[in-house]
Amino acid sequence: MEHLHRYFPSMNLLSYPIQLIRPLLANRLSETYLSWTGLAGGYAFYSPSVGNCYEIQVQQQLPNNSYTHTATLFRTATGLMRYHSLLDIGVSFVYTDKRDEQQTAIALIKQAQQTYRAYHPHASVNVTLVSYVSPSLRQLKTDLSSRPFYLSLYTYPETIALSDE
Amino acid sequence: MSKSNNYQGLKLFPRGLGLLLSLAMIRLWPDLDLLYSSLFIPGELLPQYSEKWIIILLDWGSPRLYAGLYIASGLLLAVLRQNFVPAILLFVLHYLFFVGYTPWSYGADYIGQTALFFSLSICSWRSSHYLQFFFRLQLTAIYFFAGLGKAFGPTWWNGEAVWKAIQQPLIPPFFKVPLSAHRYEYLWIGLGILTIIIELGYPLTWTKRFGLFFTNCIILMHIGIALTMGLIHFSSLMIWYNLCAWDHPLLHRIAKPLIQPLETTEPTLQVRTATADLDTRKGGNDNHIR
Repeated sequence: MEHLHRYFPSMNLLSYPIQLIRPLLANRLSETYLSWTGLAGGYAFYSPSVGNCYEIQVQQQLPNNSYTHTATLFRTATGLMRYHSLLDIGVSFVYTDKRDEQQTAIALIKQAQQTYRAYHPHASVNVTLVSYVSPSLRQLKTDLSSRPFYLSLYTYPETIALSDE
Repeated sequence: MSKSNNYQGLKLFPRGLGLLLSLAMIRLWPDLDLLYSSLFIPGELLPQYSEKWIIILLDWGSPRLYAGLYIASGLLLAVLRQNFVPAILLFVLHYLFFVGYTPWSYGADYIGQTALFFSLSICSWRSSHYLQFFFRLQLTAIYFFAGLGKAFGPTWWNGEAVWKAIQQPLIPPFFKVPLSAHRYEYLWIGLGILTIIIELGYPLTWTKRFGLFFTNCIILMHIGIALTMGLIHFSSLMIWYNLCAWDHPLLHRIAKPLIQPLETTEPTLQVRTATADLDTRKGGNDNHIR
């Protein structure tokens, strides 16, 4: 069953409708139209596959040298979800050919570190970009003890923040 | 779908849309200051994510001011009969918050912008056959291309995509599918294939034979998304879009008080006019029959 897709023609062009309208985007008028009507960004829902979920984890170092996780600053689930959608750029740490995006991701993590530090001025704050990895059906079939885990992608520790200052 | 062609769905669409977008903004209200400030986006990255006029506008006024206007416009769009002004205001404000300023956008925001474009068209011109045609065509394109993209991905055929989608911690859902549910492998495979079939087959909604069936399937799919993934705003937006585009029978139940009756003239009593005085004696006026 899982190989059914192989019988489809390998036309990646069709899998991303945005590529079909890319020539139109070169035109200023159509670019404006597609942008204002939201047509340029609303088609590829979870396709061709479902991506990973990226989050930021914040750790505070307490005076007794123990670490504790800091609660998120976002007060609503929808606000947090929107922040996580921005962090999708963290995919650049998985595919190493995206150096520019990696720099953007690092700038976002650095900004988050400074913001959390402003809220907790008397503690050391380390910010880590993580990816939520849930076990696939295949993994669970072979290993029943598989559990979801967070994969650490990039940490921006207090020491770097201090040296930057 | 509905045989009456008085474009009730089209007329009701902006009202429901205004309400849904207002509610979404109300939910986001406590986090507005975090999102639309430089707390999480460094200033040097802003031009990459946003158009210049939006940055100037957000610097000039408070995000809460625009959000207040957004909510008010949405509510006015929902309740006013003449709703062109709130429609155009909401169109611009939605663009400002979610489409022109991209860091916090996701799929539902783009769908919302398309929906607002149609709402503006509906409020500007009299609902017509052509408008309904393009409204439906737009929805068909959304689902068809979403289905096509999925069909090219291997994970939608082996159940992994559905499984991964429902296991992601996006928003706490109403119904969390436990890890132990991996045992029902054929259920996840079936749901993945069914999703592709429903989305690729969406153009069949235009036919009389399969129209209601496909719309019902899509609505059930969105209810499933809302329950298991917590994407309530996205799901309600798409359900409303579907109900209105195809004049779904459910729409007439939900929005019954808002739907105007087809007959606007007073009903007349169909009684035969009396031609003689009533004879109350035995036999009465029927004497001549005997």
